[in-house]
Amino acid sequence: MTMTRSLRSTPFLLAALLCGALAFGPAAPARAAEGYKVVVHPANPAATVARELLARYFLKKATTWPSGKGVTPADQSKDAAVRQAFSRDVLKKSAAEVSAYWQQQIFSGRAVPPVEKAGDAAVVAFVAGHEGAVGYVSAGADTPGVKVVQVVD
Amino acid sequence: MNRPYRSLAVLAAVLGLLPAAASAIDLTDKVHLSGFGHWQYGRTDGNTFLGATEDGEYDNGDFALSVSAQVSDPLRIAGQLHLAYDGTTELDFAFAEYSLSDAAKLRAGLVKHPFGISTEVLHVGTLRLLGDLPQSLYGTTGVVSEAIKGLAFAGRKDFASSWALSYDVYAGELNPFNDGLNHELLEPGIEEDEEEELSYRDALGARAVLETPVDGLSFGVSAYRGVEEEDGTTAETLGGHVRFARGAWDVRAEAFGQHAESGAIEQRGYYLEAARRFGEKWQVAALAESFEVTPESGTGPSFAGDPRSEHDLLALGLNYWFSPNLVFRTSVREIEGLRFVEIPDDQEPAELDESTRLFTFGVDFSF
Repeated sequence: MTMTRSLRSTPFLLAALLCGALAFGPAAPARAAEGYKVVVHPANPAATVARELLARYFLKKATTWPSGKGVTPADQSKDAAVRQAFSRDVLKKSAAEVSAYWQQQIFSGRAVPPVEKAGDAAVVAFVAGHEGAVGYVSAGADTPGVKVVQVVD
Repeated sequence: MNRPYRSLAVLAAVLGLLPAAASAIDLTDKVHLSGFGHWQYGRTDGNTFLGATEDGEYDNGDFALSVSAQVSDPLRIAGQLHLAYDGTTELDFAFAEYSLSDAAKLRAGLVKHPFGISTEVLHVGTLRLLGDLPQSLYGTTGVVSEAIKGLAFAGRKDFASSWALSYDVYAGELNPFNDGLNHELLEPGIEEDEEEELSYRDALGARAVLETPVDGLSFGVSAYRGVEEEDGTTAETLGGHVRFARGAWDVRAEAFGQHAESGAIEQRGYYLEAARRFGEKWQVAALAESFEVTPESGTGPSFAGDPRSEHDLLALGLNYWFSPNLVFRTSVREIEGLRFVEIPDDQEPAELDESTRLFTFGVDFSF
């Protein structure tokens, strides 16, 4: 078993060479930048939210506000430009990476993604109606009944 | 309808559903429905491996539906039904989760087995780099189980500088996959109908995964101990993994060792798998893996040179992602050893070629 002997001696080297060969080529193209603002329920005392904590809220790695209130994140539709901007700037992940993350969570039974709302007005209405909710809308969207919070690094 | 045409009819029907299956479905804000499916054609140059045959095999597909319901603020119920092409239906998991905090969640029921990188998502093709998971760990090694029947405790703790630790502790019964475990090798003279389903009672295990400040880089360790139901012997399993998944790259490496008193054997397996995207659609993947089973030191007959005790594989695959929820794949694999090769009833292992070449083409989808 010639291949067996060679594999036993240097299996990872062989694979590393294969992987190295794959390293040449163009990376995924960058997306155009879009603006967004983050909104919470008016009863939420927060005036700012840390970008990393916001990412954990939307990935459901953290589920409570510093005040102790439960977090209910609301996403926008997958193909919405504002969602792509939010994913890139806050989650630091591409659409494919976010999808893979949620598939892992769903099919292992661990968690399900945030609810999806179609458009800025639907997000604003949802956040206004849920005390622990957090969402994001386009930079120019009207935000009646909710509070805009600043995202800080 | 004969088998190939029946297979194609099933595939066509499933593909016909895809435009409506672009994403998971929120039945309400509290109930979430998702699913995934897989179909693969496989052809080898002689041996039967991963269901693929010399004549080509179309009958390799499955589909699953997953539902999660947030019953109240701390209580969630989740379940997943899995249907295979051969008509078998399995409950992948069904449990209740009571969340005390992010650091403490209690699960009871049929809970996915937290071991390594992929045991919890064994059948989900859109999370794989190639059409099948590395057999050196996720094959019929008698190591990983669909689920733990019992209790599980899970949590996550975030630390400064983007360090984070997620952990699972579980207790109950495990039923590791062991079909095709080459029982004849381990127990000479045993008949196929005497083979028992492997069951570890009173199993106790844990997994810890450390996320590092390097975005996408994580390390994990998994272990469990159980008492074999049939003869009361014990088995201890230890595994470690490292994963880097960021941007165009997804690199995974795992190794495990198991000592099983029953049969007085030791098993070891390891693999390195990597994939790189070229643009958003194309992805190239490669895998190298090795597995061997040996008698416990100083006991039993040596398996040295017996191809049923060994498995080495090199694979290269090409994927085309229509979206994160739909991928077409093709791959070629070179396999040495018969550990995971199906040995026909009317043939002796010595009559089989120790080398196998496998070609696959398939599709994976999820919503």
